Amino acid sequence: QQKEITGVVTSADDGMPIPGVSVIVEGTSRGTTTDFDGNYQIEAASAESLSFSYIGFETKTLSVGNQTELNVSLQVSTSELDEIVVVGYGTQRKKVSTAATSMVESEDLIQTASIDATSALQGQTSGVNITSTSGQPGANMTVNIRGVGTAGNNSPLYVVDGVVVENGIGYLDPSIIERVDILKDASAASIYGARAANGVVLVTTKKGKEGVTSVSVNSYVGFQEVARTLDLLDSREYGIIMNEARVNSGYAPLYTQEELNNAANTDWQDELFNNGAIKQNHSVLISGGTEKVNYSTGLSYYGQEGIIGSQTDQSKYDRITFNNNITYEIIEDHLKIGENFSYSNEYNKGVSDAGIYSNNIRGFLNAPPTMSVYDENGDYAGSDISSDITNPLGSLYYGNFNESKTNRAVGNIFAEVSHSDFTFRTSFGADINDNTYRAFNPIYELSSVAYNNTSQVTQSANKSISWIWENTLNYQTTVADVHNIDVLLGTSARQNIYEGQSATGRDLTFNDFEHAYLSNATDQTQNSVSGNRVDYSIQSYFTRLLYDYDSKYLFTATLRRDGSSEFGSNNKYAYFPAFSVGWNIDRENFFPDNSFINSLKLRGSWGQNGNDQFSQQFAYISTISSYNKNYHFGTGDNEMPLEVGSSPDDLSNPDLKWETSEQFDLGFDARIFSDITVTFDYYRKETKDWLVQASVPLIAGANAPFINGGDIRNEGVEFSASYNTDLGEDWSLTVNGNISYNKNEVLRIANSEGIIHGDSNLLFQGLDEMNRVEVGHPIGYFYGLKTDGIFQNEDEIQQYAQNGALIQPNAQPGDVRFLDLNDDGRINQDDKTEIGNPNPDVNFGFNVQLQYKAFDFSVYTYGMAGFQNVYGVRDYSRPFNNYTTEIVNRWTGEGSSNTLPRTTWGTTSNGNYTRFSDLYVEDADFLRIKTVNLGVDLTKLTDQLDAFSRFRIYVTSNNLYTFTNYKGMDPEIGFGNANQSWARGIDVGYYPQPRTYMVGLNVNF
Amino acid sequence: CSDDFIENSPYTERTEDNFYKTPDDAFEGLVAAYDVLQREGYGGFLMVSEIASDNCFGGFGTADNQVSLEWDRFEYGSDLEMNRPVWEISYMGIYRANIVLENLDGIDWTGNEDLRTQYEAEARFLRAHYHFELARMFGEIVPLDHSLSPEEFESPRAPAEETYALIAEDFKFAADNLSDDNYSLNNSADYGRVTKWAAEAYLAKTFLFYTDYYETSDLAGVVSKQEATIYINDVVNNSGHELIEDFSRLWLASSIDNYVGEGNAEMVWAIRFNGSGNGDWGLNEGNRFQVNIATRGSNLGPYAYGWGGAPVNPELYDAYQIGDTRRDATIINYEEEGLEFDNDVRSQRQHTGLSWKKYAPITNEAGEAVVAANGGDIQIDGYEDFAVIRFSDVLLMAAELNMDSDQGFAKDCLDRVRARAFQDDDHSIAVTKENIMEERRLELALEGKRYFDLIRWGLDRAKQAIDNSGDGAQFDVTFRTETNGWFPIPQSQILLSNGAIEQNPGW
Repeated sequence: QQKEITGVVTSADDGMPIPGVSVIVEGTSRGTTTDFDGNYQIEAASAESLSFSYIGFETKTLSVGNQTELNVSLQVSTSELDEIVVVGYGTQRKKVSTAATSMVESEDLIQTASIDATSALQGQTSGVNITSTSGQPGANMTVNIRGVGTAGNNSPLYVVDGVVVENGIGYLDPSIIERVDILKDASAASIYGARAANGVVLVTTKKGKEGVTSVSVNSYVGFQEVARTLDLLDSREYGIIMNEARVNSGYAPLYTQEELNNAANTDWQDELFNNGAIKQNHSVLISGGTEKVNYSTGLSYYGQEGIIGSQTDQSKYDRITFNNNITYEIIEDHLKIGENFSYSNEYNKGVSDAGIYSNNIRGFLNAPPTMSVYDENGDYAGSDISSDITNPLGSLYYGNFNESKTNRAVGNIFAEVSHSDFTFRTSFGADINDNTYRAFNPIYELSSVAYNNTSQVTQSANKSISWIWENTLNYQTTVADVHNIDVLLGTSARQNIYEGQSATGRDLTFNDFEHAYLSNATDQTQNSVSGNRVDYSIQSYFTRLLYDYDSKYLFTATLRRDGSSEFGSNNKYAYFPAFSVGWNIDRENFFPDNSFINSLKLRGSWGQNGNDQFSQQFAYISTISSYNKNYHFGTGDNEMPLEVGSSPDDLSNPDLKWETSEQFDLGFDARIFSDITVTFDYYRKETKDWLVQASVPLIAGANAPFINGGDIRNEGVEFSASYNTDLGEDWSLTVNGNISYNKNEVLRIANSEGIIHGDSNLLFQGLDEMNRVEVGHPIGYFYGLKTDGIFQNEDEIQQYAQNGALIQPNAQPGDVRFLDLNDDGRINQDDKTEIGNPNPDVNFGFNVQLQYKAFDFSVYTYGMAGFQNVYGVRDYSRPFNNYTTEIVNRWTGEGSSNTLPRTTWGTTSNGNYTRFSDLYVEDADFLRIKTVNLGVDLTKLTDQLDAFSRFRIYVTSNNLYTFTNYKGMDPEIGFGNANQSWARGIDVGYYPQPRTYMVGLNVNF
Repeated sequence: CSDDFIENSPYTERTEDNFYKTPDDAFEGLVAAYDVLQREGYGGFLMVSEIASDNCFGGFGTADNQVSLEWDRFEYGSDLEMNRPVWEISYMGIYRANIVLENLDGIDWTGNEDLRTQYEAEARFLRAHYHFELARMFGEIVPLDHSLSPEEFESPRAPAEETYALIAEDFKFAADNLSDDNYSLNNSADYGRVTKWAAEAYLAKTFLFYTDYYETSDLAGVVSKQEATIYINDVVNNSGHELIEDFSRLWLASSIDNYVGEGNAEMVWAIRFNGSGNGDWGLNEGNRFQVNIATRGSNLGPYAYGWGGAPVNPELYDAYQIGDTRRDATIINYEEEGLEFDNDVRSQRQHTGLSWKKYAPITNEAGEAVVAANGGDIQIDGYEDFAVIRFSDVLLMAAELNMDSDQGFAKDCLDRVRARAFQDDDHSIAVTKENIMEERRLELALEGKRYFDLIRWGLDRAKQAIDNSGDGAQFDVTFRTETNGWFPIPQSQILLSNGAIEQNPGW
């Protein structure tokens, strides 16, 4: 008996209704299609089944049974035949692509409730190492594709809807992103030759689809807390340790028992962290289209308070974004125009969290617990020990009055003309950045070393405009049914213009941030100003051939010629070639039809990419600088004008040329057991002719020139797998995981040392070099002394001798035994060696999504292994600094400890902690549960919400737990030294990533 | 696009193509060579030489690194770059001087021919000054009379004679070509620039060091003793420089209310500092040395605080006779001045109860560091000039040079210094090398002279003076004659020279 069945067909991906789905009663010719709202109605009998199919989605068949309403959610097809990869200036069917790429889809970006797409990508792709540089809202992530490939700028190139953007993609709301494609191998990236040496990240924002207007609302709100605090000494324990240290060093004890009983007992971490800081995001995206016009437009707000400093409103990140994409087909099949546009407004206030000097986190972790937070007047309390100990809460407050406002507009307009097999596209894009910054230094006095007598304001404004004009001509044809040819010719021209001004004024009429503007500076003659302009331009010609023979034999060739303004006339241009081949073995006749391997593709590629990004312009000519060259003649100090001095600062190198990365890649893609896809790649990437400033002898008298002075090799394997299945009608499961191994080795540095030195003073004032780039070692390795336990008694010290002379004559029992690696009978810098590597050998991610009827559950994890951090939180140059309770295990007498030296008041002449050694180096392997999500789609539970195609509410948590043995607050430390981009893994008091709990809503209608 | 599209030129800097064209450009280049003088700070010539001498120990805080102790004890190990500042800064100065000199020919001097000579003389003076600092610290160095091309970066060290010949020629050119102007008088707007008188004095200074240390009769074949004597006598007799009446008024901290001021008649040449950097760490306008030797911990009476480096050796304090006004103008004795220095709180390493008064930064009436009150940063915005050559140094050098040829003149010179020190004429002593050296020790203490006077006088004498024991292990010092008195060259420079430069003996 026939009955009428009705229902709505939606996409499982985003809950949007799908128009035009064909609905067929199985085994018959009866059928219909869904309307614009995804609705259908059809006559069918209970015994019959309905089949729902639509291109790009997996066909689903449901038996009618006794139902009259059948709502269907179609999974996006993962069939390789339909899968598309974005390859730059176009797309390609994955089946015939020879590229090593990774792709992350919209849903996976949204699910992680991340501030931006970069953070959302963590753990989702193989071969991509993404590390937080700070847990502060708005902080950048360090992104390295297939290892750190240069001592200079090692960030990938970001391309958003065809526009090359500088400074990352933090301006985009992740919910408007359709997909992110990462081009990892040289062949894939080489179409962007000039800047692609560090890989390319292609972002595609959501476009409207033909059909009904749909509205999607995504919203969440939650709170954050610190995930892990250090176990610091309380006052009693602190007093004991301080007294012991003083006695060990020959001083009188600092505290009597009574003083300790009366002393404050402050856990400064309670004052540091604002548990409950808010994080929220609200966005709406409207899209739709007709036969001629597709559009998509969205608006979003993201707000996050820092877990540090937000108590006094000194740390927060607010972002409003607006985006709009339109395409209009003016002449059907012949002329299409369109635009992609996004605007963002970012407001940022932050606290200093880097380095050792004004790092607030460090201040809190080192402060004595015996110091009160406030004194009896409610002011920040001073120290009971010394007038030069500063209240860290006071420093946090007085030292962090600043705000930054950024308006950014990124967009392009394009026109596409097609005729038979030819398509010509021209696109003009721009990336406009407008930033103003303001900072205020109030009058205050906290201690003898932390005070300010003269209020001061800095205001600065920076503007950059970058435009890009690209033209491509594409010819696509198939010859004799089997020769598929796709030829691309293109040009690209791009220019950046940056202009900035900054001014500082002193002695303000108001002593508050609200009124901290330059016009309030009373002595205008004391104002200092600066302003500059920087231009950059690049032009390129490129061509690419994509060829496949019957989807069986695949070939790609790319050639690009780039010219950059960063180089002198003799080396402006360079060519970047690349080739790749692929073989779909499964399409061979001899490939047996089997249920184990369903498809198999082998890939191989070789290519070169360039890099012209380094820290200095005009390195190819000798420029005359007048900065910091003044001298002062005449008597009196401030009445007389300074005479301006000028000289070259940097030695020039007219022969400077492009840095080139050359990469070889072998890989395969396979589908096994019908629903498991696996991808494997082996690569060897050598970056040659680094643009570096390698030391020259100081007798040169000026700064070393930039040279093409180094080679580095990254070699590794990547493996990823995903499993996607329906477990019966009500259950579906997706599991995917990836793991990559990378080995990094510096091959050449073009000076006689073979070293790029790390900076001094990275852990505390007075520490010598502790990390460096050196031939034969991984980039940025930790360079220090090796230790061999603790001297347990005088006898051991006496026995540690060579030719009768003590190797450590200044040691006392309880001091560290350093290894005399060069056997010269003394411990000095020549005994330093590689004692750690901050670059992880292994990156991995593991993600599970489980769906049961209306309910969904997902877990995203990632981790890194085989690397070390330097745990330098305690500043040993300040004797009264607090310790963690680890100090309980110190050496206190023979046999007590062979790892932690005795305590001393101040440094020992043995240099237990003033010499950089493996005492500072800690393994930091970790596995982090990045996101856990539990949601329910109410439309599947009730009929009351028929107006919605999806009404999902969820709870989610970010950074729920981190498995690690690292002893700091957070093992993921992308920061090392602001001056050296290759430095990382140095924990001097690191802003930890917060743990967040949120409730949210995804609504589509 | 055309190729012009990727042409670029700087908006905020000049290039070698459009610079060094006019006399003003030359002057800017010259100022840049002067500017390097202001790099004196931690690890600089003054600090290292005073710590190494018998005037001071290493000091700083109990928790600070060992480097300052190693300078004091002639040890080397915790930082193989410990002497990098002197090496780096001096070669920076040499480079800037050479760049100016090399570009003089390309400048249109029409109508300004005198300026060309003057600038050349000034640049050569500065070049010689930087060479001399290097040569006194490291012995043999790489003398540079031109800026190096990359092919020459791995140059070896030259025999001392070659270096000193260059130094002597440069000072001689300056002495013979600069005018008679004395900028220390009459508030000259040129005060701080080098003069004929400074060059003449420097020739004598170089002569004494070189001929004593290397035991030769003349200065590298360029200046004979007779000539050196003529030069120094010219300064004594004709320069217009003189001793100011009261020794204590030469230094800010010893004469807060009646400081004689910069640009006084006694300053033959001084390095100029001022606080115009206003806390900007990118600018080296201020005196970054002063904070290092300042009272450790917090402000104490008239003395602003700093890091407590180079505490003064009590032997120096005790070497002053009763009535010598120089002692209390040179050294702070906390106890004597009624200032309580609680070392439990201040954590001063090697506390002797004595600190530098010369160059000590000071507080104002409100007890606030003057540098900070002026809106500066106490670490970098010190404003007190450094005396490189004072007229008393000139007199003592004249005494030394004339000792054998004109006893009367020599005695007169020595007497003038003694008379000023004691504010009477009753403390005249015989003109002997011994007495002159002792007088130099007392008169020029904490001015970067002592260590080099000791080593030129003889390594054995240096050892005798510098070795210290019996005051507790922390004050033990052993001078190692096998070092010849030279300091270790930064390890990196040996490596970067690709073997062309070898480490000094004994290190």
